[in-house]
Amino acid sequence: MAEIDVVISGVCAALKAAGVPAAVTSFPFGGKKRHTKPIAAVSVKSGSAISSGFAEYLGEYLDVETGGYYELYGKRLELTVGIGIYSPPDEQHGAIACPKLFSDIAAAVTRLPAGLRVKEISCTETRFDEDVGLFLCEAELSCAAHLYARAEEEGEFLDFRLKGEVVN
Amino acid sequence: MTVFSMLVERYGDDATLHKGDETFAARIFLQPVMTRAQDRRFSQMTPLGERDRGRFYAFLSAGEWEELEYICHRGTEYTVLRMERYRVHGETSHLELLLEKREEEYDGGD
Repeated sequence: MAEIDVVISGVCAALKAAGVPAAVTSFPFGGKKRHTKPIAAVSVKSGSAISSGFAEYLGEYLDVETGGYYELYGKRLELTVGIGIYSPPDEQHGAIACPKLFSDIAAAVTRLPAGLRVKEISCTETRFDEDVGLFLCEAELSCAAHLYARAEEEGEFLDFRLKGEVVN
Repeated sequence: MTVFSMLVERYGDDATLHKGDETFAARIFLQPVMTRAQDRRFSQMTPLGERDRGRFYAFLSAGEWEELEYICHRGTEYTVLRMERYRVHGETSHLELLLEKREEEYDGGD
């Protein structure tokens, strides 16, 4: 999985775990659905990669379980994550649901994986988006993502993973 | 019975009209809205998925239905965007509906 996909998935998972009704990656494949509850669409607005160590090499570490030594590699991403907060124009939700959901999201991002360090979260005013037929409040999350990967003894790389990511 | 009613009864298609919990059976004429503009896009990519922007007209007799929400025709659901009455000699001849395909409902559950 590409590193940015790892970060987006981590943000979506954290939002869902915090009770956000639905969190999806922006521009999903397939047709738009008729949303009956508020939804957050997560995307990357900008980013830069910063190499850690020498050519991303962090050193060796001992895996206590296997007893083997592995080479560790790491990288840091500086990202601005866009979170589109959408709410259906009905009596139950309406425009007021957008800032309410932003408050929930602001609380949820304090519980992101350890490898995602939040610097700032902000949002714009709520407006009606004619393209999707929903109220929209656009939030931005500035964060630093720390990813790592380890090389097997044979030198084969594994995917970069988000530090602190919980894997099933 | 109006002239239109006779025409739609004989040549129209079966459809189900929906308003809240009420449903009505009706006969309709359904046709796509075509435009002469060659660069018209009938789908639009949005952050929540691709949206079908194709529009349709439906013509049906006036009945006890008002402010319809959507109709179902041959297994396809259409959201009613607008409904207008056409009057001939001071009487309502038929109704014209502007429709677009109804999106599949999603409440956030996996």
